[in-house]
Parts: sequence; C-alpha cells; structure tokens
Amino acid sequence: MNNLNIVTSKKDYTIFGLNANPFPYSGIPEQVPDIYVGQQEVMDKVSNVLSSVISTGQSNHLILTGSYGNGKSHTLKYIQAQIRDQFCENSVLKPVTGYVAQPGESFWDIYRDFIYDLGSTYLRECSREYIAKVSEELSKNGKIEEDIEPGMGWRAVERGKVLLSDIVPQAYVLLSELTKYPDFSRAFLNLAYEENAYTSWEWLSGEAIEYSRRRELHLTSNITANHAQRAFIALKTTLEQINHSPVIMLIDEFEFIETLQARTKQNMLNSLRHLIDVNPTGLSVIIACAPEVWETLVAEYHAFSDRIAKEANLKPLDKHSVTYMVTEYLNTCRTAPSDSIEPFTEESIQRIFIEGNGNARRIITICGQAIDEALLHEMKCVDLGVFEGIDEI
Amino acid sequence: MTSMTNIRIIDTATRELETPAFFPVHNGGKGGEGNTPRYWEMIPDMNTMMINAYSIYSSPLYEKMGEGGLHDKYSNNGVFFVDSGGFQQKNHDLTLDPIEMLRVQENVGADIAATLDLPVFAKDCIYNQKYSDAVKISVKNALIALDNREREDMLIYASLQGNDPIMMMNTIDYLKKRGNFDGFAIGGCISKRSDYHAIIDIIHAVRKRIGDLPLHVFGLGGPTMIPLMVYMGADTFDSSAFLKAGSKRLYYMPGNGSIEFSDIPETTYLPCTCPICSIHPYEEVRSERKLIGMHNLWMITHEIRKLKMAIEENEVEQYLEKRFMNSPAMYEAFRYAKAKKRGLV
Ligand SMILES: [Zn+2]
Repeated sequence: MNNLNIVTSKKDYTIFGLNANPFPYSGIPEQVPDIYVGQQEVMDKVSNVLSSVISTGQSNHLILTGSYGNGKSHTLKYIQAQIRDQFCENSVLKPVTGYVAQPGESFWDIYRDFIYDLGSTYLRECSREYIAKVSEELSKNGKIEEDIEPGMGWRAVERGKVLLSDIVPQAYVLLSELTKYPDFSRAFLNLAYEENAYTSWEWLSGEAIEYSRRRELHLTSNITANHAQRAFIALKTTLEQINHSPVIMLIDEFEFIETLQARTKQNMLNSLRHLIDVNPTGLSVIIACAPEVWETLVAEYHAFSDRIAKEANLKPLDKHSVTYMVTEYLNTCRTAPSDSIEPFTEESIQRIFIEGNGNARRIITICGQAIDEALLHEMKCVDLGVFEGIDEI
Repeated sequence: MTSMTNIRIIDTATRELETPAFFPVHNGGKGGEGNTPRYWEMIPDMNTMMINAYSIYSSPLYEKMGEGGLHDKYSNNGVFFVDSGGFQQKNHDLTLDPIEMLRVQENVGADIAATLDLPVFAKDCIYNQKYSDAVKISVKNALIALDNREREDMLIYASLQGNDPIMMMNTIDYLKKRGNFDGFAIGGCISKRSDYHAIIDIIHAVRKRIGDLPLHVFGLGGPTMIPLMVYMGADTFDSSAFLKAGSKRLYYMPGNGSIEFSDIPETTYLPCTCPICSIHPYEEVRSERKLIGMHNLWMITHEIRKLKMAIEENEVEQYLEKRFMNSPAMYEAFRYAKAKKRGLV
C-alpha cells in the first residue's frame, strides 16, 4: 500500500517561464473567462442576435448546440463576461445578463437561478437607481421642493438632499402601476434599505418566507411556481425603467429536460414559449443544449423550437485553434505575453490535438497534466516524452 | 474600540450635565404635583427631569408657573428636558403647532427642548402614506423650531422618527444640511422595546451620522437597557417605567432586571440596601408606589455610576459581559451590539 503524500510546498514552474500552471486541473475554465478561441462562427451568430435585440429592442433568441466538452458553458459565460465588459457603468444601455446553470423542473427554477445570478448587490443598486430616478422626476415636476440635479442619483438621498419619505411612497405607486404586482414592487424598493434588504432579497429570489417575516414587509404571498413568470416580467419591466435592458437569459444544460417526465417537460417548454410570446421586446433567451436533444425538440415540440429563430453550433477545435488556445493560457502565467508555445513543442501540441479530439475541456486537462509531468521529471520542455508518463487521461 | 461610548458634558443654561444621564419622567398631573416623588431632593445624581410641554400647557400649571418656570417650581439646579407632546398629539389625535409648543418650552425655562414630532409605530412602513407624512411633518417641525427659537441658551434637539436605519440617516442628513441642532433625540423606540436588534441598529446608525452631538433616546430607560444604549452611543434617556402605575408594582432588582412585586417572596427584608429599602419594611414598600419608584431610581442611579466607572476605565465591554451574563436575551443582544460596532453585522 502506498502512503498518501500531500505536498504542501508550491511547485516551481519558473523553469518554464511560468509563475504557475496556467491550465485549470478540472479542465473547467474560470467563472469569468477571458480566453475564448476557435468559435468565430458561433460568436458571429451570437453577436447578430444580441446586436439586433440591443439596437432594435425586438426580442431575439438563439439555441447554442455542441457536444459535451465543446465549451457550451464556457461560451455562455464568455458571452456574459463580454456583455458586462462592453456595457460598463457609464454606458447608456445596460443589458442584464443572468446565467441559469440548468433549467430544473419548472420556470420557477429558472427564475430563481436567474435572479440569484444577478445577485443582491446588483439588484440593490437597481433599487436605489430607481428611487433616484423617481426623485429626479418629482423634483423636475415640482412635486417636491428640493432641486435635484439630473444624474445625482442615490447620492441625493445619501446626502440628505431629499427625504426618503417624500420619494418612496410615490415610487411605490408608480412601480406598482407598471408591474401590476404590488408585492414585487415593495420587495424591490425595500432592497434599498439595509434593514429590510435581506428579507426582501430572499423573497425576490423565490425563497419561501414564513408569514410573520413577510408581514414585516407587508408582502402578501411568496413567489411560488405560479408567480414565477409574473415575477420575471415584473423584474424586466422594472429594470427597463432605469434602462437596464434588454434582459439576456442564458440557460445552460438544456438537455437536462430529457430527464423530466413528459408532463413536466411539456410544462417547462410551454412556459418558455409563453415567456417568449409575452415578451416581444427586450428579451433574448440563449439556450445551450446537446445537439441530439435539440433535434428531438425540433421534431416533437416545434411550437417551442419555432420561437427560437437562430441556431449556432459549437465545433471541435482545429489544430490552429488549439495552438492559439494553449498560447493564450500560457500567457496568463507569463511575465510578458508572447506568441510562443514554449514549453510545449510542435510535436507535443500535435499529440495533444489528437488526444484531445478537439474537445476544449479535455485539451486543457491534458496540457495541465503534461506540464506537471514535465516538471516532475525535470524535463526542459514539454515534449513527446511526457506522454509516456501519462497513462490515461 | 469603544469610541462611541463616552462621558460627555452637555452645557445647558442651568449647569453642565454629565452623561450618561437619566431624566425621570414627571407626569405633571393637576397643579403639577402628580404622584412623582420629589426624587431630586433625595438623589443628588438625579437632579434632572423630563416633562411634557403639551401637558404643562393644557393644565393650570402653565398659568401658575410664572417667570421662574420649572426651576422655581421644582429645582433651581435641575436640568429640565421638555418634550414637545408629539406622543400626546398622536394618542389624542390633536394637531399641535410647533411654534406654540416651542414657546411653551422657552417660557417654562427648558434647558433642553425636543422638537414636535409625530410618532410612528414599529408596524408602520414607508408605503403607508400616513407614516411617510408623519416622518415629513416631524422633519419640517424640527426646522421650524430651529428657525423660530427666541432663547439661544435653550438647547434644541431634533426629534427623529422612523423605523429603518437608512431612513433615519437620510432624515439626519436632511436636517443637518439645513440647520445646526444642538442634539438629536430618537423617538418611537418604546414600540420596539423588546426588539433589541432594531434598537441597536437605530442607535448605531444615528450615532454614526451625528458625530459627537448629544443623543437622547425617548421612552427607554430601565437599568438593563441603559447600559446597552450607552454602549451603542446614546447619552441620555427618559422613562416613566420606574413609576409605572397599576397592579404591576415593578421592582428593579439590584443588578438583575426587574421583578413584579407579587413575585418577591414575602419576607422581612428586601434584597436591596438603598436608602428606601434600608429604612422601610417590605410591606410598606410594596404598598407605596412612590417608595417603589424611589427605589427604582436608586437602582438606575447605581447602574449609571457603575457604567461611568467602566467608561472611565475603558472597560465597558468587560463590564457588560459580566452585567448580562445571567440574562440570555440581553447577552445575545450585547453580542449583536458588539458585532455591530465592529462592523461584522
Ligand atoms: Zn432599594
């Protein structure tokens, strides 16, 4: 029996000109990816769909197919990161992107994942932005005596320029008229206050909150499966008021619905179809799905699949893309970026390309192991020799 | 670490007042005698009084009082805090005039005057128009009082109403932008008295916002709440609980909360050596409201002394640790307060 030998000292990758192993061991890229390669065609289609919804406001949806390991999750997260990057704080339009890891059993699950991904900090900022917007309007229309310069935002509240008690009741009336959902409006506005923020957030994210706690916030009922659509639409309507639009919903692992019972699956598809139908503007749903599952959906549920106009297909990486990807990862741990594939050799890249079968996740895993193997055997570079040591990957 | 817990000197028209300080509520009554014992003659540390402008105004006392005001009537060296009557306004559905109440406060010789507020209750929320209006009126009244003051030597405390710390902070910012108040007073805490966290949150938020100005908390001042409120940064308090009427006969136990008289086993001795309990036997104290009230004030005096010592030694947290050891609810509140001060919750 071998002893378990846990090495706590850090490995020294400097021999390869790297400050760490650039390849994530699990092959799963980081939450906010900045390396994305070899899927120009997919990116073009995504750009088309998003550009049209962002520029015209007309809703537009896309299905993203690709086999396991071809980077569906990676692509969705990359899209999210790119949008957040391009439309930063000072941008006039602020698209809202939320990532849903798996559709779950009903739209309620989707809603909860979505709102959870947006996060309480973001929604609190939105709540404050909305209150600030109402303050500015009330000031402009002479409904309150205080003059608020446009763009002063929540600072007007924080600096004592306006009284919250002058603004919030009005904001509540206005928002309830728009959302037709008073509970939602209360919870959303309450996010702006520290004291109630936590309960409001729990409520908004679809948690079941017992009556006594709900009562403190004057909330009549929880968001249940029956209210999820309504809550989502209220959220979208609210965010539109402060130019946080369009709403881009990224749903991953859609093939999961194949595991649902026929009835549940039908309900799920119906509710998504309904969602698309009642939101002709300001919404983009991007669904990542295994190609074989999508094919059956197209064949059997075209009432749903018809609503999604565009399809993009993730292809296995070609040799050129593999080289490019490896270089990009290496650059994350280099002091100065370069085009070189060192410590890899041409031959080892070729071997990795073949072994990895164009599958990005697998390629990343092989690269990471290969570097460690080379380090262990004190090799000068990662050449074909390392593959003798890696029996099975 | 305990920078918000300080001994402060408040410079009033009568004399310097050292904090923490308690203002027993004088219930006035017809002719101003009421049933409040003349505690200020017996407890040197307790030469302070909270009295209500509206109740003075609406009783014959106001007519009779004359030039010397409260000082002549009760105590020349006493510090008088005159509340405006907001509570009465709400309970009796009156609309009082803020300037009229200010004049009463000035005429009776108040050392500290609180502006006319419209109390809100814990269950009220901002979506309730009445609630929002109450907060707004309290704010407007505070500014009116400041603009119309005639006696420069009377300190004016802005009365704060609200249930959310953010709202309170917003109100303070609004008021500070528009006037120089001599201090602030938090109202509406009675309705939250069993919600320690809410009280801690509010005092903490207000103290952070007002810098080193004096801070009063209305209506809360039992010997257990005082140390906690002082710890959070409050300076002065008032309460009438020490004299609460009815069958309750609340007796503050030395160093350990309060107990209803009926729960004290009937013995010859009372568990206290204050000047009241030392002289009067059990039966007498039990049957005489004023005696219980006096004993209770001695307990508060004792508590404040111990607190001041702890503040001077910079050992407030150690003191509270011991103080609340045997009271799980208070101990939990103290831990929450501690975390709050350290920015952990
Ligand atoms: Zn006693």
